[in-house]
Order: sequence, then C-alpha cells, then structure tokens
Amino acid sequence: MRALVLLLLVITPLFTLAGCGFMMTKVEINEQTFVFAMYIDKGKQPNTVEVTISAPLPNRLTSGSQAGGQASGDPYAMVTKSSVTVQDALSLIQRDLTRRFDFSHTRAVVVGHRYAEDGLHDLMDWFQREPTTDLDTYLFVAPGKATQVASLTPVFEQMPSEVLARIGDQHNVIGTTFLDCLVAASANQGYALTYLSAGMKPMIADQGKPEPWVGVHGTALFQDHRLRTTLPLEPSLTISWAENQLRGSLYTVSWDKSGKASVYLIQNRAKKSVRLVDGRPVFTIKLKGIGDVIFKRNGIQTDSLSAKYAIERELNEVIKEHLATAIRTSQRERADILQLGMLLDWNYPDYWEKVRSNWSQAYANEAVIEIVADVKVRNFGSVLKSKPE
Amino acid sequence: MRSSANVKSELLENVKSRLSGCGDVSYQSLRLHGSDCTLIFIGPIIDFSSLHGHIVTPLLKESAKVEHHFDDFIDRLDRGDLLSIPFERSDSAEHIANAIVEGSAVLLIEETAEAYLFDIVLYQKRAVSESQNELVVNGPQEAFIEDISTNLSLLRHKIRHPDLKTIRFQIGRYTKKAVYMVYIEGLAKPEVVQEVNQHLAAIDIDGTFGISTLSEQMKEGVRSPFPQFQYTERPDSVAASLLEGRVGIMQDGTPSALIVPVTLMSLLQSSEDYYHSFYSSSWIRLVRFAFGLMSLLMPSLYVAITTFQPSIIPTDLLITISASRENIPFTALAEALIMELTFEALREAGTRIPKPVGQTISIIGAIVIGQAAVEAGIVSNPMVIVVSITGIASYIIPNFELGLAFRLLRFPILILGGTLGLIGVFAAAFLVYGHLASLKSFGTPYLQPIAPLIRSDWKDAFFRAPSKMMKKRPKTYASGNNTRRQKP
Repeated sequence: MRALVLLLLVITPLFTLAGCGFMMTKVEINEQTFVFAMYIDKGKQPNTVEVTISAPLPNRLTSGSQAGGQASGDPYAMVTKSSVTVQDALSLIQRDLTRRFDFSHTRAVVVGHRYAEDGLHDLMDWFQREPTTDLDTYLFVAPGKATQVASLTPVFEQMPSEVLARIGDQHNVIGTTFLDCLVAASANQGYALTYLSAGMKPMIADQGKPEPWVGVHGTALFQDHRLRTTLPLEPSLTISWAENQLRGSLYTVSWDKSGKASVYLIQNRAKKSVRLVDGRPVFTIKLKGIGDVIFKRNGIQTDSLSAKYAIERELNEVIKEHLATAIRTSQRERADILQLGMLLDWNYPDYWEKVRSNWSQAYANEAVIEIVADVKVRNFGSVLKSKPE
Repeated sequence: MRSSANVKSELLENVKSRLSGCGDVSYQSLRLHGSDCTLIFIGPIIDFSSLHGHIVTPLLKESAKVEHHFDDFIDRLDRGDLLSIPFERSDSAEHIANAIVEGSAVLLIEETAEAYLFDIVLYQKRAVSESQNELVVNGPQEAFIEDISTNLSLLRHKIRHPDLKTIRFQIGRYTKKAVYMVYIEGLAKPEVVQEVNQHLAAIDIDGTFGISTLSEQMKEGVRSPFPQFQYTERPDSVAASLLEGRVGIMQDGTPSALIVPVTLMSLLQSSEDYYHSFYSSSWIRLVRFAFGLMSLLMPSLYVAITTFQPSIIPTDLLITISASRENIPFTALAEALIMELTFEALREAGTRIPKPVGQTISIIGAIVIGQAAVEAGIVSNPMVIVVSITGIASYIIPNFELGLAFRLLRFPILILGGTLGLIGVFAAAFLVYGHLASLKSFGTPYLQPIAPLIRSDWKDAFFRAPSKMMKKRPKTYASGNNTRRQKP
C-alpha cells in the first residue's frame, strides 16, 4: 500500500512534466499535416463560414536529396470548405484529407474583412476548444477576402504562411496574438490587429509578371471581437509604439519651409499611467524614444543645435498627432485598443469594478487620454561643408 | 643414515608421483659431498640464471672443496651461510609439489629429511606498455600488465609510504592466483577495508582469469546494470583513488585493477581531468555529463517528441524532419530500433574483428548506416544523426562499464518513449534515477555527493576546482583523516 502511494507520488508530476490527455496519442510525423496558416471568410450562403487551411507538403520542400526528386510546384497545399461553423468546416476538410490535422504549428490566422465585421466569436470559440492550438498564433485582417491573402506570392520565404508569421514576428506593425485578443475581450476591452493590404505587383523574381502581393496597410480596431474601423499606417505605428512593439521606425519632418530631416528611431519605449481626477480616469501615454538623424537638409537655420531642437520639436509634434488620431478614432469607436482598462483595474480596482461592465462606453465618454511624446535626437551626424558660408 | 635415506627417496617418490604426467618438470641429479641430490623444477616458469648463478654453482663449488664434511655442509646450508638466496624447508610431498608448480626449484638431498625450496619463479610477461583503453594526452602513460609483482612495483613507485598496505589473498582452488587488497592505512575507511577483506576471504571458486569474476563474486546480489566497481588499468588512477581513501584490488594475471567504493561521479571522471588546467577539465566534465545524459535519452526523446509531441519542435526543424520522414516505411520507433541495433552490432563486430580485416567493418558500417539506408529510404537522415550522436556520446563516458550500462538501458527507455511518449521517457528517467539513488557500493551511496548532498565534495564533481582549493579529501569516501594540506 505504502509502495503504491509512493509510486503514485512519483508518477503524478510526470503528467505535468510531459503533458497528458491528448498528448498520449501517437501519430507518426509523416501521418500528420501541420496547418501553418488558416484563412477565414464569410461563406457564400448566409450564416456560413469558409475556412481555408494551408499546410506544407514536406515532399516538395527540398531538404537535401531526401525524399528524392526535385521540388515541383508549390511546396504547400490549400483546402477550402464552407459550413456553418469553423469546426464543421474543418471536419469537412479532415474528411477529404489523408492525414490528420495538427494546429500546434499554426502561426497565422487571417480573417476576411466582412467576416471580421460580423465578429470573430465563432473563431475564438473554436480556438479555445481546439487543444493543439498555440496561443501565440498571430491574427491578421485581410482588406477583402482572406483567401486573397492566401494566394500571395512568397518572394523571400517558401510559403505564404511564413510571410505572415514573419510579419507578425518582426512587428512590422503590431503582432497581436490570439492570447492578446482573448485577454482583452475578457475584460471588455478592444484590440488592434494588423490590417493587411493585398494587390497585384509585378515581380522581378518572376520575370516581371504581376503576382499577388501582400503588405501591411495599418491596423484594424476591434471591440467585442467585431471589426469597427481601420487606421492607416502612421497612427497604427504609434499604437504599436504604445504597446511597446514598434521596432525601427522612420519619421521625416520638415521645418522652416525648407528644412527637412529623417529620424530613425533606434530605441523606443512607451509608458502608460492612470490617475483619477474628479472621478474621471485620466490616462497618460508617454512615448519616449531616441533617434538618429539619417537625412538632413538644412533650412534657414544653419546652427546645428537649434536645428536639432527644431527637429525634436517637430518630431514630437508629428508623433503626438499620430497617436492622437488613433486615440480619437478608438474613442469614437469605443474600442479600448491599448487595454487602458487593465491599467485602471490594476491601480483603481474599486473604480474598475463599477465601470467594468460597460467599459467601452466609459472609455468613449469618461476617459481623458493625455499624450506625451519625448523623442530625443542622439546622433545628429556630421556633414562636411562643401561650401563654407 | 640408512633410514633417513629411505625417507628421502620416499619423499622423492611421493613428489614424483604427484607430478606424474607433467612433462615439463625437470629432475636434475647432482652429487654433493658424496651424496645423491635431485633438483626439481619446471623450466618454463623459473629463472634459470638464478638457478645456476645462485643455487647450482655455489653448491658445486662448495662440494668441490674437500676440507668440509657433508654434515658441516648441511649445517652451513641450513644456516644460510652457503646460498645468498632465501629458501624454506619442507618435508611434505604435497607442499613441495605445489611449490614446484608455483615456480620453486626444490633441492632434495639424499641424507636429509627435508627438501629445500627456492622461490625463483619467473613467468613470461610482457613489458609495461602504454594504456590502451584509458587514454590520456598529458600525464603518465604506463598501464598495468598481467604480472602482479610488476603491477605492485608500479604502484609502490607512485606511493612510497609504509602506510600503503598490501594484503595478500590466494584465490582459486586450481588457479591459485595472488590477489592483493591495497589501501592506505589512515585514509581508507576501516569498514570498507573490513568488508573487502571479508568478501575476498570468502570467495571459493575454481579459478579467476579476468578480475570481473572477482567483482561478480563480491557484488551483493547482482541487482544493478550499473558498475559497483571501477576497473582501471592505470596505476595513477589506482594511486589517486587510494589517496582519496578508496581501496584497490589487484589480481595476478590481469592488467586491470578494481577500485571500490565507486560513485556515479567517480565513473564519469577521467584521470585526464587532473592533468589539464581546471578550466578545460571543468568544461570537459560538463560536456561529458551532457553527452552522458544524451547517450541515455536522446533516441527515446527524439522518437517520443516526433510521434507524440511535434508541437514542441521549432517549426523550421519540423519541416526538415517531416520532409525527411516522408516515404519512410517504418514508424519512428521501429526506425530507431533498427538503427540502434545495427549500431550495436557494428560496434561489437568492430571490437571482435581481427585487426587486419578491421577496415571492412568501418567501410560497411559507413556505407550501410550512413548512405545506403538513407538513400534507399529505409531510415531518415535525422535518425541517422541522432543515432550517430548517441553513439559518439556513449563513448565520451570514460568508464567503459558505465557506458555499457547506458547502452543497455537505452533500449527499454526507447521502447517506453515510443509507446508512451514523453511520459514514458520521464518515467524511465525517474526509475533510473530512483534506482541510482538507492544503490550503494560498499556502503557509499552511488549518487554521493549529489544525493546525499555533500557540498564540499562538489569541488571535484561537476567541476574540478584547482588543486590548491581542494584542501580536504573528499568526504564521500571519508575516514577520519580529511586534511590534504595543513598550510593555507
């Protein structure tokens, strides 16, 4: 008996170490298909959803001389099915496939614009229930149909899904994951997703033929899992900054009519704080950064120091204006995309309890948001004067 | 006079009858002071120059001198005035016969009741050569040989102190091998010395050839695949172990010595560690631990992860693995078993194959495992890599016996990993760990100084501290005397 208890004691931690439940099923790696990306659209029939999965075809991915033969055709496959729910559609796809799905390597999910407007609730439900999914999956919004994005030409990568995953990884705009969305929505707050752009572009790599191309357009603002509006690139970048996701951003400012300078941010940070003033939450978003001047054309002022101050002043103005635009839009759409409510929850839990249930209203009407931009120019760069004045 | 002559010839007859059928026994007749004498010896195992220079020649010279009488001659012989070589006397035919087969020359003199036994044994032996199995770059190169007196001389050369005790046992009813227990009094734990002593004294077998027979006779129940003895062919290893307070066992006729007690840590250390700077030794030790673990777990982890938990493989690696697993007809488990078994067979064949054809194995092995299997699509490339790394890893363990234990355990763990996934691997690792924790070698816990924890001994466990810092002897094999150096 004692030995049995001891054995149980030894075995129990193993389940937490090694994972249990579905992890106990054995599937050979070449009997599975790893879904790398999913594309969700509104179906043609009302109240249906069209799901497209994209999975790599390992035998077409060249890996040395393994598996024989030269790769021919695209190294990935896409399958599309429509049904009433995401689960149904996936099950229909599974029925056609010779291999079992695995969503553990799904890096990107793209939703179509119209589907997003109707709400991502079904998708979120599926995501939470499917055990193999990874919470770090990036979520994107396509300008039109998601399948349009699916057909993009991967120029630098092997598969479209890789392109999307890298866009998320690199924080080209904002790398929002399912985890972020679920956390925000659970507290009645909004979130911002990267809004892609899709179109045709002639590809040098493909003898100048026009090929589908996908880039980033800006952000899409969500509240209650519904797409409210989209923001163009500049305000989107400041949102990314405020979320501490932005990397390597470039701003070009002008002053004194002819003065012009480009500043490349080598370091940027954001700090958000809240205080209650007269029963209203006052948020302060402070964007701090250090930049290098990488282009400068002097204006009337030739004094470097005053030019530096002018650049900093203009830069901070521009940045502040960008974020203000974003915040104004978000307040108009009642989408707390920066999750300022969390800050309130943390600092003033009592107040938060009162406003929590209709936070989106309170965010739009009550919240005062102050923006401080504090960007310093560090390296001004030295320029040889060819014509001494 | 007559009667004693009768006794004498009777003794000779008895000895002869005991040695009948031994064609290599020589009987040399001499006449000393008018008395018939017989010199009996086995030519191949005695030192002829001693026989002639120290025994026969002095006797004949003495006998040629006429001024002495026979009685006077015997008297002087008995007192040791005549011969410089030590001898013993015996009148037991059995004892005499035994002495002869052990390499003594026996002189029987007609008129005396007792025979003279001269121990001038000289077995054929090879010269002391470099260590073949425990290679070091720096440090002493010499290794033990089969001859025990040479081995003892090698050891005495390293430790010149009267506290180095060598207790002699004779083991084997027929082989009658000399076995020595060596230890340093005051450093070795008296209980361990006592225990080894008891074990050795209790062994009763026909004969031992390798020293492993001894270890198996001494093992308290053969319950573990892990070695509870450390084999070494290096005198410096033995000497260093003795200085740590361990006990050595050396047997005549085998070039390896046993060291007890052992711990897992001691088996993962190489004498090389002490001959390099402590930075590189510590680093090498860490590498050794990492690869030791890999040699035990790597194939099973690979199989478990690819078949049960592909979600934890980085995506790019997953693509590579799944691309190479494509079209492989076997399951990952079967694939791993095939490769591991092939590798084991190749390894064994490589050890046994006669040297002139040794190339064959490496060529066949490289072509079969490395190329053809992959190109034919029978096994995948990553599996070959995994098996190869595991193979290399199992050789990084300095102790061959421990490497064997890991090689053996790898298969059950592989099967568990292939059937139960990571849980199986972890369960197996827990079981091995539990087993190791419960194992003891001559009273010393196997995992010491990790469990039970002895902090001060960590200086010479995962790392090797500079020798200036190791002022204390390891407590793992502690006796009372713990200080290596008095000076700060």
